[in-house]
Amino acid sequence: MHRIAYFLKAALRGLTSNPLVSAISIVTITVSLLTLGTFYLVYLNLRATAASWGGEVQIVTYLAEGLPADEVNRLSDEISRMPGVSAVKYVSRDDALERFRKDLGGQSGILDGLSSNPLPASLDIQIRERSRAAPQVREMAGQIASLRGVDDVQYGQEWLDQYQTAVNFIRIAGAMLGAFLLIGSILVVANTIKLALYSRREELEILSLVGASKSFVRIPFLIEGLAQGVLGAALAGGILYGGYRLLVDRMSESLVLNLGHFDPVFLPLPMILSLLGIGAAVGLFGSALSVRHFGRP
Amino acid sequence: MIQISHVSKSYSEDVPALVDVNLVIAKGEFVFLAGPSGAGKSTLLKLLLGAETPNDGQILIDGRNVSRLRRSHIPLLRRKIGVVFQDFKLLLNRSVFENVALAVEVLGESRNRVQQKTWRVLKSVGLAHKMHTKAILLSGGEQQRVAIARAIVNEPDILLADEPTGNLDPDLTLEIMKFLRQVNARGTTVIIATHDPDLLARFNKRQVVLDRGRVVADG
Ligand SMILES: Nc1ncnc2c1ncn2[C@@H]1O[C@H](COP(=O)(O)OP(=O)(O)OP(=O)(O)O)[C@@H](O)[C@H]1O
Ligand SMILES: [Mg+2]
Repeated sequence: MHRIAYFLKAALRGLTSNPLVSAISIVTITVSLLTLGTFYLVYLNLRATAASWGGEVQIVTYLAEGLPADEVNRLSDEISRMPGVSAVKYVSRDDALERFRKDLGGQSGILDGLSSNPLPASLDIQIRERSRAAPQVREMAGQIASLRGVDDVQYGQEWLDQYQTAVNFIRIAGAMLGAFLLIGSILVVANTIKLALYSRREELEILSLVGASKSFVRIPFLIEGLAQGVLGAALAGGILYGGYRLLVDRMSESLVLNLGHFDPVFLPLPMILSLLGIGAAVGLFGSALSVRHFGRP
Repeated sequence: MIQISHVSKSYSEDVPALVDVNLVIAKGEFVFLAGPSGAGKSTLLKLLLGAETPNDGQILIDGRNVSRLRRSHIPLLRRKIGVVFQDFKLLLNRSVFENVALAVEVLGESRNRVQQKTWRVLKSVGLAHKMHTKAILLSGGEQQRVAIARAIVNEPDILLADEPTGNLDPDLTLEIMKFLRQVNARGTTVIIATHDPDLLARFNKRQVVLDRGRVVADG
């Protein structure tokens, strides 16, 4: 236990004795984790946006003009019983016009000139979460379109699926790029520690001659690498959060973006801890690579 | 007890550093290792420490074969042996205290124990007042005493001293030798390598004389 103080002191001496080299090592880890974190943050936010759309995913079934009320009810019941459908809501022509007016907001004046309501009545169909994949929705829409009393069917699933494919691509590309950069960081740390070992080879020889065990010689260097990793990760986390806040503040000032109900999210705590963990692992592994052959009598 | 039997060592093929050396050194003995420069004195000390391995023969310390020792056991051997190196091997940009404390820290002793042992040994070699001075600022003789202090701070079973008086004036030499004899009197086996004839003449102790790697006289 008494050794811990010695180890920490020795590791700190290592970190500060060659500050530029340590700084390069730390910054490398920061850049890698920042890349990884940025991609993940973008992915998270795009996914959150997709999810908010996903809640609205529905098949809009436009009804034939003048369809009698009992026909509408029959159709509504039939669709409700279809697998994958969670809710069916009747939107009358008046409801549709009112909704349109709301969507237009300040520009709703253009509707005042209309002598009659041009909008058809519709059934808005909510789809269950697990039935929202494009092929399923397409099939469902086809079935509904063939029902009697249905004029037209619209759904946006195809586009949403493409969007989700793109989001997934971003995630995979980010993970791959991040992994490459992390491997690079490991090598940079390994090199930094190798330099540290070299610049302190006299001390290490003396330690060995006065009876230091292998681990006694190595542990300070492992701590040094670990500290570089953790510092790099903390720096990356700080920069990422700072950048995120800056961007979110800008966006809330800009009304245009604020119109879409976009709720920005930051990395959740487990992910932040993972970043720290990855940083620590990179640092530890990098120094272990260099220290592997060292400290033998 | 140290038993050296048929030990040979050569760094390169042409010049052997040690040739068929046989020696027995009893526990608590005080031995001079004499001989001209290049005779193999330092080499013999390095073999005892496990810093070099013999090409032939074997070295037993307390019954353990040094060259057969597992790597992980070498530190344990070295903790029983204090060494004053010919070139001191001090960390010049560290303080006197840190240089000596290093040997205690290696054992994993508490901070208090480290400070206590270090201070005590520095006082005994007359360097307590220079505790916080960087080693590089010391005179040759002072550096030598730091090296001695580090070698004996853990009260080793064996003390190997390679030319421990090489840089000292006659007065200091006498003082250091007195000191080493005190260490010996407390039970430590002391082996001193020297090519200083005055030193050998002044102390009536066992002398093992090496010449070109061979033991040419013992007594
Ligand atoms: N690391 C080494 N590599 C190659 N040769 C060496 C090495 N160390 C010593 N030698 C050679 O081994 C022989 C014995 O050297 P050693 O240092 O043991 O002598 P010594 O008796 O200690 O001499 P001195 O009194 O000058 O210190 C010499 O010929 C020396 O050149
Ligand atoms: Mg020598």
